Amino acid sequence: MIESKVLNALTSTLVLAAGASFPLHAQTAQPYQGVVGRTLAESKEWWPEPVKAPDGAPNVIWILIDDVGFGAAGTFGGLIQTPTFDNLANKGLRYTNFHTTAVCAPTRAALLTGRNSASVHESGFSHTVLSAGFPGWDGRVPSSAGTIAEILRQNGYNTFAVGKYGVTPDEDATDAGPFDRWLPEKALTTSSASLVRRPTNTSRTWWKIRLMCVRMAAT
Amino acid sequence: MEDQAHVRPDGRHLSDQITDKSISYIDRQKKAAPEKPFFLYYAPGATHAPHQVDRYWCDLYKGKFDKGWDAYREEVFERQKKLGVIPADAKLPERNPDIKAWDKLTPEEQKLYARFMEVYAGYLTYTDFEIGRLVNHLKEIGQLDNTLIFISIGDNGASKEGTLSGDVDRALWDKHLTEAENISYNLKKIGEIGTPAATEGNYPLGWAQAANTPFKFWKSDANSEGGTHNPLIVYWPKGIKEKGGIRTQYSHVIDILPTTLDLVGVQAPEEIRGIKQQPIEGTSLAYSIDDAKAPTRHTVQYYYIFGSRSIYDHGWKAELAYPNSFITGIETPPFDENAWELYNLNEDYTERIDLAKKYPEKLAALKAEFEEQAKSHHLYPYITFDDVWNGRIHRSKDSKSFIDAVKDITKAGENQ
Repeated sequence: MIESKVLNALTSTLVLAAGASFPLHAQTAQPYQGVVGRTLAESKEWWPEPVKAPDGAPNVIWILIDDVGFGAAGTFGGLIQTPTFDNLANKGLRYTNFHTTAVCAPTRAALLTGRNSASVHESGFSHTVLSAGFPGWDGRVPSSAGTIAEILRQNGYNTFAVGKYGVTPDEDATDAGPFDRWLPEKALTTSSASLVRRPTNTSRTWWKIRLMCVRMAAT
Repeated sequence: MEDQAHVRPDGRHLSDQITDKSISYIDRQKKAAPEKPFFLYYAPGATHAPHQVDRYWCDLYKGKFDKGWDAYREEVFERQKKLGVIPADAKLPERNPDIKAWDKLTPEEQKLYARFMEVYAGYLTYTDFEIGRLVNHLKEIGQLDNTLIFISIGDNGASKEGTLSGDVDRALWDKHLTEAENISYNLKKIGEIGTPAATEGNYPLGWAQAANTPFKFWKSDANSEGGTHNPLIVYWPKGIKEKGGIRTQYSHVIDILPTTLDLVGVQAPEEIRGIKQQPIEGTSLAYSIDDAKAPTRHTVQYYYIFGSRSIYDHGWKAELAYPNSFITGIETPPFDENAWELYNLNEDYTERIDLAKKYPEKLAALKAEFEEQAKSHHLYPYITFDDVWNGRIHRSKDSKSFIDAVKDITKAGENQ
């Protein structure tokens, strides 16, 4: 099979492209394996295998609630009714020795990347007044720490986020971007409703800004 | 934001909107590609301040918290033991310093604070309701059985930003009020708690501590379990055999990503779009899904938030608080870098008995380990809340004071 491909290539009057120099698709590392001759008759089409999730791979939902203590929800003994959580926990598992970082943005950066907050530059926040020009503190989650969505997307998932993000630098969160630390660039097809985290349009508090992302179209 | 542009909120509750968006997204995607799985990250603003929710939800709790925060802690502590979500030998710590006994409060204070908690409870129940809408929808379209759901109930412990006497609409930079003045101000506005007018709505610290039962202290206290210990639910009917099981293995938020990859059957890539990836630091919990008794694999973890810090190692924990008076207005002793405490969580789940003096060598070893972790994760320099409030970071010649910068951000938010 390989031999016949090589032969084809050699006998072509013009070999325009073969091998790794022409990735067909920006998202695939597969080298081009077809033959590009001068005419169609001398050429052989090739398409990369479409990316597919593993057989039977489940949908995945990560839900992160904001500012709740261990003893609030009824599901873990609190006096506040949370029947949905009860139902899911009673048909699933309760992890009782689970930990977060103690604050919002470091937890979110750590969750999304599977790395400690300092390792992904989020020891503090991405807000101007809560970040500093040091590797562990600049609030710029690096591209070397891909998110769960970036990983799942290149494994055949559609990926989507709603609600609060909280790790885009203030300076970047204007209509002029740059957008490389907004959700779409982190492979979270975002969508959404309002900028502020406030549940109503009367919002006014400083740490609740620019956190909401939702968009309808999928990428 | 919508299509990478800022949009104005339309007046509906954000939790309502993001649930609708999620359902719409799932439906559209499944219609186009029924076999293709999706990943959804659902991160509501709830239940962060401002606590705002339709009156229907708050009123479900009318009178339910009149017994107060001390009674709440005791009742919840017993329920937690009965449920098996805390060890049978755990003990409830004393109230945090500066929190008054409920029965020492005036009837007016009790009335005010109970209302704050009714609203908070309504807000959380409403949040659960919205997630219920999402879950029910998955069931209706036949997708629930093969959906893996993680719910972290909290991104940190209960918030202490509501101050000692709660907050209705007073911003960080508003003129400082004494506790008595604040109580009288809030009482005048008791009817606004939970409404859109309550632009800063947050419950008082006594309730935040109760919501953190059985732990001490609060959000942003990286030294304490009250800042860092949250419930986690893992649900996947098709993939998890045991229903209603409890897992006690030590785990951390960085573990969710590798757990997900393991359960889905995907490897972490070496590169993403040509960029070499840093190693994943979390420990997959897949080993514990079918084995309640499996030994913990996540055995060491550092914590640091603007001065407060701790290190966990095989059940031992060394920790250093960063006292500040920013929230309570009550004078605190200056930060003492030598005031480390030591706990054995295997025997003292709620950090009641400081063993620092008893086991100085253990403490020294853990402190050294913390430094190692700090170095290897690029946590240096140790920036503190004091550095933040005094504007010592991210300075340029045009920089404003901390409070002025914060006001600017708020203004920008309103304009968008």
